[in-house]
Amino acid sequence: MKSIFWQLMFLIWVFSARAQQPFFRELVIDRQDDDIKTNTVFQSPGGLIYLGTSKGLFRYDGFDFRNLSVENNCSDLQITAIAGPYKEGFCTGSEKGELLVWIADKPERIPAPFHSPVKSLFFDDNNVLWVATYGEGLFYRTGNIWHRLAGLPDPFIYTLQQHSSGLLLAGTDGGLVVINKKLNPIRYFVYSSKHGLPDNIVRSIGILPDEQVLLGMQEKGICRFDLKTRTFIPVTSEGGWAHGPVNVMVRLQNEFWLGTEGKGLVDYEFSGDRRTRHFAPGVDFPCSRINAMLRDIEGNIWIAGDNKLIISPGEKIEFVSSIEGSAIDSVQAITSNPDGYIWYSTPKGLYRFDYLAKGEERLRKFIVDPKFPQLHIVSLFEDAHASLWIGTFDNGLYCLDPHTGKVRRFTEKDGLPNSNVISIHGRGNSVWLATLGGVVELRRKDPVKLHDDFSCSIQTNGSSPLHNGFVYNVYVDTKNRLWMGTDGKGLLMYDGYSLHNFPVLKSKDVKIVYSVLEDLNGNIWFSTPHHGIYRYDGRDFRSFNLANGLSELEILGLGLDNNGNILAINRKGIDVIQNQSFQIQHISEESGLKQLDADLNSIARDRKGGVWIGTRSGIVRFYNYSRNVVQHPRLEIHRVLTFMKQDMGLKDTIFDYNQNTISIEYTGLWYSRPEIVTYRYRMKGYSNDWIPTRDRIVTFPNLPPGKYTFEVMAGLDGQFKDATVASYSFRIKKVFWRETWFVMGILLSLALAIILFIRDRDIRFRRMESLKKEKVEYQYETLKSQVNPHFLFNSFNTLMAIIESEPVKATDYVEKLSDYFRNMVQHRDKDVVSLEEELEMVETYYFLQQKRFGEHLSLEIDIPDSWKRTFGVPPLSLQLLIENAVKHNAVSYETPLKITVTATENHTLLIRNNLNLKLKPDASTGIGLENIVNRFSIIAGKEVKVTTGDHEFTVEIPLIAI
Amino acid sequence: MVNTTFIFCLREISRKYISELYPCFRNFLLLAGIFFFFNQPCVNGQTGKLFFITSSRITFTSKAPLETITATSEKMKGVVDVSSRSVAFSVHNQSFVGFNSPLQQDHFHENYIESEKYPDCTFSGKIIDDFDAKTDGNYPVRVKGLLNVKGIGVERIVKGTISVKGDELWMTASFFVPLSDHDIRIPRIVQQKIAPDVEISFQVKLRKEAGK
Repeated sequence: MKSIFWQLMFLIWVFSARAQQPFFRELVIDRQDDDIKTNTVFQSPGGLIYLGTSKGLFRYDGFDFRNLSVENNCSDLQITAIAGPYKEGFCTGSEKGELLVWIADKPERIPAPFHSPVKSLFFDDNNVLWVATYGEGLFYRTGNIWHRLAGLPDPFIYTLQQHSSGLLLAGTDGGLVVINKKLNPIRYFVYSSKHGLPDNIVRSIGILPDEQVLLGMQEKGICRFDLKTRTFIPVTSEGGWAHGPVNVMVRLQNEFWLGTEGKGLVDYEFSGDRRTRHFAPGVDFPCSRINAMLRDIEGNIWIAGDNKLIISPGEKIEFVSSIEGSAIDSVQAITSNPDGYIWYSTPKGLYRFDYLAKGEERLRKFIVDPKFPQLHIVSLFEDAHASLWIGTFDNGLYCLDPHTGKVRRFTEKDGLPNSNVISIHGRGNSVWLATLGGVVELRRKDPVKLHDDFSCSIQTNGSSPLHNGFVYNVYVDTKNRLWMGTDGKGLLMYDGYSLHNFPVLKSKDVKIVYSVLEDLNGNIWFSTPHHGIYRYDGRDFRSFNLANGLSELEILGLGLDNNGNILAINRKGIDVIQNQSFQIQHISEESGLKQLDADLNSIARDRKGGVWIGTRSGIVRFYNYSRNVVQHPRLEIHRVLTFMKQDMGLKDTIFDYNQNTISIEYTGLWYSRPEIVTYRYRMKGYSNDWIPTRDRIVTFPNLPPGKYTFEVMAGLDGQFKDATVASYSFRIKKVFWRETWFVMGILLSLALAIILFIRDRDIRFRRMESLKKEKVEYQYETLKSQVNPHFLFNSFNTLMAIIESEPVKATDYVEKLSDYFRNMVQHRDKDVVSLEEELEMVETYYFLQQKRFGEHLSLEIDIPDSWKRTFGVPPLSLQLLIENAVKHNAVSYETPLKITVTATENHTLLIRNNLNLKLKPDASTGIGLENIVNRFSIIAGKEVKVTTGDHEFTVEIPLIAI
Repeated sequence: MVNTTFIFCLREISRKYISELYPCFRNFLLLAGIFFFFNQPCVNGQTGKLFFITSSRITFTSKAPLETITATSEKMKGVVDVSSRSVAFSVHNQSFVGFNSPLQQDHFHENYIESEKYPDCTFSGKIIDDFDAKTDGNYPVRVKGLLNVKGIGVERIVKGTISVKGDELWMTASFFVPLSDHDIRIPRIVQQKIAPDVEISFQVKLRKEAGK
């Protein structure tokens, strides 16, 4: 075994590489209007993004931009500043000094004493509104009273920031103003060039840790200011500041992004290496003048510049895509080194670049073997002794010691089973190689003399290699076990003694394993081309596939990020599997990962935990800054509609029975990638099942009356673990006739009606009874009077007197007498008889009596003929009155009795007779007249008037219409 | 005593130069103030911090691929108040001479700057950086103010130098103004002859007013 090595390391070029670059995505506010200049970006506590623009205030939910100013007819206001929360809303300031409070997206004006542009405004801990104007100085409002902070060095204020210590910091044309609002009266201190401020024009202020602030200036770039010592600390930048005025700044995890006036974006790392990077407009960055920036709760950075609105995932994903204008293409292998170098290979050769270099990155190209300038390098690995192992197609293995520049080549002569080295991994002194001829171990003999001596032997485990099938990946874990991802045998493990396979996997048909990785807890993860990812904890295999959140089954590589999460690289992007919850987060298009054509296992981890992925179109760096960002969409129910159009707002919770087609609108806010938000909802009271949907509106037609609670959850790609629930409770009223009050009312009125009916019937019965009694009494009375022996005696005497002399008349008389009795019997049961019938009775009676009294008795009846049929009287009443007159008065020659019956205009009959009372009255019960009076009152409800004068007796009876 | 009122006006106006309120009124007062001082030498001791232009030279240059146009005026008027550090300058458009041809001069007045409608260009603002008017020396300063050309005011930060020599103050500056800022539109046909950004350079000598 002869070792060949040469002390040659060709350093060909030193490039200035393009800085690794974040991804910027442009959003279009209005396709019809490309002249909307955004002045400020604000995120409400509910998570919605609001933009203050030259065309008014816009609201953005990830899908639509709504111009609230146009909706509320105040689009003439240029919104320049937004602050909140304030009374469940927020406050905006305009170019002309107008202040508006927006609650539920409706504006209300606050009177303000200034007319200059509002540059900054915010509410402090005591809810005092502070306003920085550009031209009139600083104002604050306590209660409803405005105060102006007098005597500032300059009335032009660019920015006003609140520090956690309670101090306010204002950047002006006359330097930095530090305001202590806790003192009474409020005091302030001005720090200008006299105190060491490099530039008096302070345009932006950012809050640093350790009581420091970062100041962005007009010409001199940035500097730090220590609030404790009140001193300025210069931020050195080589060759002065070349990026123009610093308009705005936003803090990321370890960096500040600085927006400049015309030179694009600058990235300043405030801790650690403190390097600055410049993203020039037109080249690395889409706009030149930056007006506003914001870091939202998801960790996205919003940048408003020129007439554009840009969203960026920040420093999470960065790209190295080109060097000096020529693209990095087809990265085949990549590895990192603790000094901050990234090694990578493309078909053009082997490169190394220094990602930690301050300023511009340095990139070097190496020629490993002068005999083969176009080495096809497919695997790279740096071992514990900082030697770089280079596996090639067809040209064997190289080992390179960057410190000494020594290179050694291993070929089949050195015991390598095959000259194609697919994968290299190792630990300590051992390096494992996956070659097309099998897996072999390469063991270094003497670790101490490593840099000088490459003497090492290839262990071949007896005479043959460990496994002579195709191996995609070798991985040595912390327990020094060798894991192999094979083609055909699935996952294999070699513990130093024997080779193990996993029959469980065979039963699952897992025959191909692409990548193997150990996580921080010692679990082994491996990926397959068709079955997703498995996690092996020593006992069980846990599967990750499309069903539990993986976005693709074909995994091109596995990585471990800085938080210990597993990264699965697929063609669409990266799936981040959280190490505790196993929740899977997708990173793809929103971060610029489109068509991620990574080479298999072309993945490396740097010393900070950043993961570098080699792809066909350059290198991608992933660093997980997810510690203080939300992991779930914010969810809000906006409004409720009935019948798809009538907007009920959210305050209405009671609906009529016929308003029962209810639509509920909600949005899950996930600005990183709004289209992957999915929802599930249920309507408690209707169904308790969760229904998945992608719609942002759900309609329930014809809900039956009842109480309901609508619950909705928003998740990313169908994952709802730990997601918040938004709910809305409401009630649909019953139809009114099924409401309790209505039923009760109906029952009550029914009961009342029954009671009234019973009472009425009772009264009627009683009346009828008394009428019956009266009638019976009357009949009895009448009968008694008619069968009165005097009447009969008189009648018979009269009959006797005429029976012989005038037999015809006597016959007539008897006939009348019998008529009289018949009529009486006929009518006595009736309540009312017609006047005609009654008068017939009267005439008959008169005829009988006249035979007795002759001309001394006269009766005159004067009633219109038309009345005789239309009116009636109780039977025998008139007859009784006539009879009474005859009975009580003496009828003789000296005292003739004259009875008249006349009709009056009031439909009454007047019965009149002259008084000539008998000296000795006939026996009388006196019931007759009284009975008549009662009968009239019962039957007709009318009164009978009885008048007794000196010479005349009058009875007035009312007539009853029949 | 009338002077004091005017000085007061001048200061107040300079301070509020950016204010969008009453722009016409403001310009009028400003110029009225300047002219007043020229015609009426002041004897009030309090005004000793004012410096007035005694000689000036302002040049604009347009360097286009096909033609370079230069014109100069020596009739700039102006005042610097070193206590409030405010400045106000004004120049009559008609006073510019030195065009390449009389026709060009006519075009300048009629088509571009519209001198009949807007007879003057003004600049008023404040000196940002510190300088000591009592100590001789050269001070690089920035002046921030409103440049009003063709009735359109645009905020500019102009870098220049102030040289103090006894009672005299020298100010020099040079800066570029994009014509589009002031709504001066160049027809496509002459785009090769007129630069989109015109360089303005000026030198002025000012003298302390109390010395008069």
